[in-house]
Amino acid sequence: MNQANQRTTSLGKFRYALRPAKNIERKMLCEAFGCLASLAPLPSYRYIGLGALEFVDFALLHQRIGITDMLSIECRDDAFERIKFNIPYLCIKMKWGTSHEVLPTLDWRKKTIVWLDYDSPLATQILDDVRLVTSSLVSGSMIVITVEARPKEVEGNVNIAHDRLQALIQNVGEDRLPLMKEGDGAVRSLKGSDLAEWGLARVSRQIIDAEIARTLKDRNAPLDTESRISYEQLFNFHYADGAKMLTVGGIILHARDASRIPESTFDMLEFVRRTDDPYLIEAPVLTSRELTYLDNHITARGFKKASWLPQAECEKYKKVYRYHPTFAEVERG
Amino acid sequence: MDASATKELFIEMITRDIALVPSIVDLVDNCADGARRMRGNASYQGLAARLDISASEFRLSDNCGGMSVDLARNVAFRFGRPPNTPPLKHSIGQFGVGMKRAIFKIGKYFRVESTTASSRFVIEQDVVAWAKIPEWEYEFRELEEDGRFNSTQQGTTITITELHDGVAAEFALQDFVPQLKQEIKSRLRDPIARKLAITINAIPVDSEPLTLLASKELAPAYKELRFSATGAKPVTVRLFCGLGRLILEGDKTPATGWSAEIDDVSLPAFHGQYNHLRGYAYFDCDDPGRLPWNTTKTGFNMDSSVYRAARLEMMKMALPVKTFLDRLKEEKSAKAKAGSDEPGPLQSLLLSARPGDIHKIDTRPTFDLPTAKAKKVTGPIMQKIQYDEPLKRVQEVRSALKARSWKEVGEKTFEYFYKAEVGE
Repeated sequence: MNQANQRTTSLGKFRYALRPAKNIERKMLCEAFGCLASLAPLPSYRYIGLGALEFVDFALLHQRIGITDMLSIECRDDAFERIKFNIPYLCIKMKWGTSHEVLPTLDWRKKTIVWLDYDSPLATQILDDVRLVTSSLVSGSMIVITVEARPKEVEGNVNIAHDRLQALIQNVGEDRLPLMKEGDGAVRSLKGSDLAEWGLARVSRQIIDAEIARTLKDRNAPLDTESRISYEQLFNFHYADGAKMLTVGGIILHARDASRIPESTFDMLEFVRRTDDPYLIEAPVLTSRELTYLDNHITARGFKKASWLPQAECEKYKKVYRYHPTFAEVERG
Repeated sequence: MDASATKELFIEMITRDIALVPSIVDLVDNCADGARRMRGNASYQGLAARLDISASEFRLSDNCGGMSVDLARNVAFRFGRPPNTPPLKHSIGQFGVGMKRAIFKIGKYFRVESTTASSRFVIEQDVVAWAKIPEWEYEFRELEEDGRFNSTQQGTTITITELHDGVAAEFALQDFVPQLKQEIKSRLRDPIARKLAITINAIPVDSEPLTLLASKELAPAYKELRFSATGAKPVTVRLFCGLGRLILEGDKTPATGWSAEIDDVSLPAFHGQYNHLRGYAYFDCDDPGRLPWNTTKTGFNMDSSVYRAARLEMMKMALPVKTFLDRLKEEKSAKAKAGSDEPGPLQSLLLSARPGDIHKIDTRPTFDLPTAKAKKVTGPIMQKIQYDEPLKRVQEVRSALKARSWKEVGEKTFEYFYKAEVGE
């Protein structure tokens, strides 16, 4: 196996907890996971994640929705002792290996929330993981995938569009490139210029979506209509604490269960996105005092006017304030 | 209407898309179907199918229960199968065309004699003459419908003479029988494993049971899937996946999930390191139409819904085995780099596992990756150096160094240079 293709965690690259957009995304996901309660008691769920060093997602899900059956897949066995030291709760179990190695060995009979939180761009091996998980999850489960979606830097390269397309082809294979729809409904093949800005994120979402659809098509092939499993996308986040990132995911549902969880359950959450149209998470650039001020001036319809504050930042805050982290320096004892 | 032209065209058409060997295997498969009808999933001990092949005659006789007159009248000697025919239990011979196709493929004159517990019939026909008459049905030469026949009398014998020139020439070839034997062996593994005695010119076709390597640490994966749909018979699929001995006519086509050419890849294109990977899939259904075979039963119908769902599971089951083999490869190359011939922990596991009949060995839901992970080579990465120098000069250096071995000469000279020129 090519080492370069393996998923690596962001060990030491970031302090996970301090990335505001990621922090907001995590809490939004957690709130959506909470909606699963209408299908089964939340503590009966299992959570599978790629825990890295700080297990932030694990701590959040344990605290907020009470999941105790938690599994972290970790390939960095060179940091074995350090990672073990950082496990916040005893109920978190570790499996050492790449997601590609570990996922096929798991028992999938339990309702599961899987968050494949990669920090590398979409690649064949990630799609293999997506296929494996999609073919295994039982109804009522959630699958969430995060990949980097940063287009290659221009840096004065006049062939950048071509290079970006080549990079994508190298990662996922030419046969996976989606067709693009023009404004007038005409269809054409993907061009390098489609990958600029958030283009790579959009295309990555399409590729993941197609992989899920194809897997379910096979899985459902011999089944009756009523026993078929469907996937409903709920998340399509774009955010950038540094590099542009994409998070896409949704719920795996049986027709039988679908009636027990009305669409409105999720659609009441303003960040839920069922289509190609993403939800952009933007953390406002405001001071602590400003944030506190805004918190104190929230009305049912929004913020009371504060004309001396930059409106764009206020708008951003309005969208995310319930999930926005508060950072402060503390004396460590 | 010119019956002759129509029938000739028909014969030409149905025989064109099948090769000689598979058409014979089809016939033998009918015997296996008979055995299945008699014994279900129990042993076929005592049942036999005997092939006698020469340049002038083809004969296949079995004692597998015989064909009822109804079956002959409504199915076997009609073309295509009437839609209201009940499906044959556990049979893959759904097309009702196999027997006639094989007969036409082989020769111009045939005789089929079949006896069940209560009936007996003989059909004998000159194919060329039949092609000239307008009727499509065959006439019974002999017919007895309310008889009583004991089990030693029951069975079917097909005799074909006036062989086509090409066929007679094939039959005369030295390697025809071995080739046919090989094909029967691989297509009819299951009935042979259940002790159906198949012989070709008195040579028994014995099939070794399918095996996988098994030990306490290396247990193959086993999964049983059941695909049911309303109004259709359920299909049971049994999947085995694990490690095997090297060799074999392993199929590496897209149908098995290998290859990078088809769009739904999940395993990498076949590499040497995966020679040990083995998987077996058994499909069973009371309605043969739900099984994913192509019409000549020599391969898969890759569009079959059951097949697509089963393949997804096969690929899933194969992934941990693939990971094991990847790690084994890593272990081997690490050992090779360190200049060691000793087998590593994974290699030892592989060597100590013994092949076992897949129906008898212990299995698990997934192939567990042994926890004995390849120990990482600790310390810096090493590099071996080797060179030749005139013996006299090396001996001089050796005595100057007071070295006790040639290895020491190498180490000390390197050390000397490193200290003097490179290190602090």
